[in-house]
Amino acid sequence: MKSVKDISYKLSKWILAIYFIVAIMAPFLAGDKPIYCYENGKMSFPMFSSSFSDIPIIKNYPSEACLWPLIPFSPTNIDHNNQSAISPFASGDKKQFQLRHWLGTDKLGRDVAAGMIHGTVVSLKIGVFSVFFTFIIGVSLGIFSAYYRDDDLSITLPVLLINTILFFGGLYYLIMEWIIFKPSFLLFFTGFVILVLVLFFLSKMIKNKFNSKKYAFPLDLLLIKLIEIRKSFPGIFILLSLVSLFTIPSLWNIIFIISLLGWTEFARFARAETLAVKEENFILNAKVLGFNDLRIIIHHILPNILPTLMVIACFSMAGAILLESTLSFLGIGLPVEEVTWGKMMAEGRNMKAWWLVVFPGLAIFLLILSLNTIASGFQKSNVQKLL
Amino acid sequence: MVGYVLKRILLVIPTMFIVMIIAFFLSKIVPGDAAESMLVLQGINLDGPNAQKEYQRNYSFLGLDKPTFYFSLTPDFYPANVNHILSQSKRQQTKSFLLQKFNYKDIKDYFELRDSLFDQQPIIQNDSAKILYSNRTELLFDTNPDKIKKILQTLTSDPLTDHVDLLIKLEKSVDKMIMNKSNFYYPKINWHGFDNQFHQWATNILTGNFGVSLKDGRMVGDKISGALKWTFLLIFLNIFFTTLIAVPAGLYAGYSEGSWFDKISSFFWILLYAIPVFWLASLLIVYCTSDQYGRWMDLFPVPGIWYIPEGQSFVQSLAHFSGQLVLPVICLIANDIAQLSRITRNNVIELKSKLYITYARSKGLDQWQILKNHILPNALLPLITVIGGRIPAGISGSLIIEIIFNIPGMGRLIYESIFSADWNVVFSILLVISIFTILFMLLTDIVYIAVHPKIKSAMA
Repeated sequence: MKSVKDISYKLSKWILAIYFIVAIMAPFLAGDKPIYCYENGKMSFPMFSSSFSDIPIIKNYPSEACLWPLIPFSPTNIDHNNQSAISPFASGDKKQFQLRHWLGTDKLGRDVAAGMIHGTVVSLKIGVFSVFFTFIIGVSLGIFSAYYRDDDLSITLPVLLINTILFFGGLYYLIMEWIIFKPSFLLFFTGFVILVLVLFFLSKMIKNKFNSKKYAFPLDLLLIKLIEIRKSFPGIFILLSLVSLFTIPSLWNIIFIISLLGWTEFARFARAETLAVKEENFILNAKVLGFNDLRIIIHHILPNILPTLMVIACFSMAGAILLESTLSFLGIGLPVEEVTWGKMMAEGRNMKAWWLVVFPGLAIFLLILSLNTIASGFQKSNVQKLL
Repeated sequence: MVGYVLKRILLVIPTMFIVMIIAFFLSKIVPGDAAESMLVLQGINLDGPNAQKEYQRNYSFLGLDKPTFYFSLTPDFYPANVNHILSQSKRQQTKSFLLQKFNYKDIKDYFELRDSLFDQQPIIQNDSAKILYSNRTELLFDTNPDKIKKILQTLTSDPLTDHVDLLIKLEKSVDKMIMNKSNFYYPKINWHGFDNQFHQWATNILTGNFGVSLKDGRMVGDKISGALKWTFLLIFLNIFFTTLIAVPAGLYAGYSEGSWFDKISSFFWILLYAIPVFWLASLLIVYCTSDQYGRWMDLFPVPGIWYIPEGQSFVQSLAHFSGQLVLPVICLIANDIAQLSRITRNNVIELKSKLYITYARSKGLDQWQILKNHILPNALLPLITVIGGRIPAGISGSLIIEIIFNIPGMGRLIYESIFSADWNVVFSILLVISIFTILFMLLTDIVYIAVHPKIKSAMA
């Protein structure tokens, strides 16, 4: 017999899948241009051609000849007949069934259902991308620091000196050229990766050239200190102050800041798990076989700690989505024209319009609930695998 | 153990120093100019005749002319300290020239010549000379060398222009600037000593002086201490009620694992844990503060404006607004109850399978004795860390509640200050809260060690 937990786990997976489908299909679900028209023997795809952009009103297309998106409004489309928050039961052009506002309208007369679909895109974008970046930063730092600890990464003084000078010198020029003089994040990032790779191979090449005393590089201690410093800034306060530093609001700023602040969870768990896995026999065997460290980390440690990291990924995706909706609820960080769940909710609270509060909130709630359930489902299956 | 605690306390100091550095540099990269905000605060017209003088006075009064940090790492063509230029427009123009990699020495020469040109009043004979004169003033704002040269050439080619020699000199200095452009540079370390902005700021903060709010001129320290009371009150209420409800519920659910109470409460906590706090707050405000949806739904007072008159004591205002606190506290504790009771339940379940519980059972102790003497102490110990960790998280959590319910705490203060670009207040709050977080983490650690028998005996 299946337990309630298994059913809720499966259900949550389906709910999450539906969210992703809605986000990917968003332009087809809500938009003010028909997907496909067949008129006077001519076929056209107004949604994909920019030339139709000047006639976005539904009345310009005969509804029999066109295939419309499910909700014939775009999230920014203002319906002048239904302004100042019309409730779902009282709204819409009753004669034309398609033009009803199924979930009501907001203060400006924008369709709530279309806004909800657009909000899904924003939330999932932030959730997925910020988890992606935090995962990469946090997991790599955590694994390396746990693998080498404080004394396994020994380095001779000349190599350390050369590396330090080259690294900070290179970083200085990178910052000067591409952050101060000609700001370009992409060039800076590429330059940084190239710098790190060059230094990595250089230090491999010159590693055995010097016969001086070796010193341990305290990688683990540095990471722990870094995590401690990050933890001493309470979440939403530092987030708010960082977001307000950007003069031009955008989605990517928020993703950048959430990644900058959120990697510590991944680092902590990746570190703890690696410490446990490192002592297993198969790692020792791999070392005896003479595999290099990178191969051991990628082929032997990473697959073993991945199940735990998936749990953290689910939780931190829920956290990122919650943070984004909190920010947009407060009206900070996202561009004005972007419609999100949080913004709709803030408007609903001010106008005491239940449909603006209930629907977006339900969307956030369900998303977070299903992510949490999936995470605990993962957790449970990890424990079962161990037994 | 004393040694460990001392070491732990000493280790806090470098962390705090780094936190201060981070908060300081964040406050330095904000958009806007503090000296200009001070002018607005003093009610001085920004385009008025003595605005320049007042600006420079404020600028040096705020210590903005000092170097930023103990040392700086600049390209070799930079001056040691760009901040020392008092005039706002000249400073901005110098920065803009420097970003085009022009040598600071050439820039200085250019400004000197430009000043001597503008010291000479031109003889305005007719209208075309007037146009020329207005053309000349464009030089004061432009930092694009090509454009400057173009303006200079049109001026010199005109027969009406006087001081042609100065104009030619100016053009030559621009040429020199372009010629000496430093495409290759090396980093230069400038040592500034203790007379810098960070040192001044840090010593001020350590003596409790956070500066002046740029919005209303009040002391930032006063504003923060006023707000801190409310935030601490909220955190106290949060932890009190959370512990009061969650711990017994978790204990009972764990003790009677698999019972109806356990099943229903677990399900309920899972739902409650996923509810976004601001959604819960919005729902309660929309449905439960008015009789729009039925008379019995009108349960709570509408979140109003918290006007606290000058001189009213904290207790007085607390008594006045106590009714307003019910709804915020309900929203605050919702997520925490779910979390804490789940942790308590899992602790108890884990403990129940321990050998010493089986032993106690076989000894013939009754259920209540086992619960009281063996399960309870061991289940509650880990909660110290959890509850201690809730305090910094509670500061974060109370932010949105304060904003929604208009409670004049830290969250509301930082939110309002961000919108009015009152960066002094924003980063002071950030610093104060970070320091509190560090202290609470330290305290939690020490308390945990002090009460945990295992660690205590290991350290002895």
